[in-house]
Amino acid sequence: MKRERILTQENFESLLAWLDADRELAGKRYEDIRARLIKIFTSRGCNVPEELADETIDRVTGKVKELAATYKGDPGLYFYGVAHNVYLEHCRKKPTVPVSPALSIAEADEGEMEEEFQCLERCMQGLPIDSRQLVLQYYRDEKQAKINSRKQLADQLGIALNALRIRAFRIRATLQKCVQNCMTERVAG
Amino acid sequence: MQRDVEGQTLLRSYLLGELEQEPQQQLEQRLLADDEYFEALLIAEDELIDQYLGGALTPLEQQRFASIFLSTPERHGKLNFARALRKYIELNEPARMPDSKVVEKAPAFWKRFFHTHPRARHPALSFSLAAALLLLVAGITWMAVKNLRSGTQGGEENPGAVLAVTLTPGATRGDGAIEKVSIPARVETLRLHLRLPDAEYVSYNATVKAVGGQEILSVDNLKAETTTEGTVVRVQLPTAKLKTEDYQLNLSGQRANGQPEKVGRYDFRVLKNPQDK
Repeated sequence: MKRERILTQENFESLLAWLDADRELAGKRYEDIRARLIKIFTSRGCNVPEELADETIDRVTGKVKELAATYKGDPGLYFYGVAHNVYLEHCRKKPTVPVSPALSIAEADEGEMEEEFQCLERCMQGLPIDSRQLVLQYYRDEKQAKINSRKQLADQLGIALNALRIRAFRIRATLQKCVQNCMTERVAG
Repeated sequence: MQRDVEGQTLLRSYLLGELEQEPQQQLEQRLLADDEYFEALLIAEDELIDQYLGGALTPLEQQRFASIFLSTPERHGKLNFARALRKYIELNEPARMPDSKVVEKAPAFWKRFFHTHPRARHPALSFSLAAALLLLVAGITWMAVKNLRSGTQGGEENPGAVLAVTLTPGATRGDGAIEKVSIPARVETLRLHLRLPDAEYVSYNATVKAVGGQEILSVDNLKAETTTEGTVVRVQLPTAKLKTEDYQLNLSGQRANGQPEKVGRYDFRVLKNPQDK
């Protein structure tokens, strides 16, 4: 699948213009579509999801002038149709091989885990106190105790459970990004 | 709410590769068009990982998790992060206070005081207030140190890093194995939440001893608390007093007439891990 990407500036500008008249919003939409394509290819068990997403985008970009004149509807859905074809071609060439369970669940290297833990401690300290407390309360316990504790937390904050779920996820995503950056710095340093 | 649950179940099935072609394609099309739905998928990923680490997946789901879900380095990264987060939560679990607020109130109070009190805006008065505050803090610290030195029972002094474990009376878990408590080196206090069959006593007494050994702790006048886990009595043990061996905690209750009665025995095995610093 790996091949030279033929993407001209002109074609790329046309793609952005097709996605949104506002260039900034178009750039964001482009990144969103790419991230979602990667997620879809990942969920379909492809081991090179980024490559397949880029292949999909290249193909759409190649046709974008024509599309801008003729296609009606959400551009995301057009990408989806192309992605499906890319996926089928990929499967024909290289059938997906399931990862061995024993290999895939193996714990990371102990030293690396410890470094990640230290980074997490540092990132937790960088969170605002209310976010830190929320993480500590939201992710504690198991099973029924966890359900009860989350209900209690949602009541305390005066928000619905789903809103709490989203709030916790966003803090967790921020933390994970912080930990990744911290690990990268350590490797570089 | 019902729709939320159905949506979450569908996303979970998608992540485990359980959907038929048509619902899968519908879901994927929605992922491309709907921002909130895509975020819901990312949340479902985190929750699936947490369920895996919490042992909440069926054997078939575990197999699918390993062979389908963990197909990329990015998800391995998420799994490792979730492991670290889990460990952090275990080591820093907040105390269970039924009515405790999530947001700490004290800093907000001092901030409000110094920013809004008209006298506090005057520099000389601000210094005086700061000096008074320092004296107050020093006094409290002196009292705390004094209490620590006098050996307060029950481990209610500053506990450092705490590991909280819930024990059920009756010595063993359902599978017949003794409850194992792994204590990482950084943990200074083991907080045992002793589940009670009922809360009919005015107060409780707990004694802890190594099996076949001497008593290492005795705490009187413990009170039952109602928590999300039911009614429990909380006992704190300094981990410095514990070694890798089996322990027995005996809990007795005191009725209003002062008569003590045996409530239950809680057995647990301590595994100290010197490598985990």
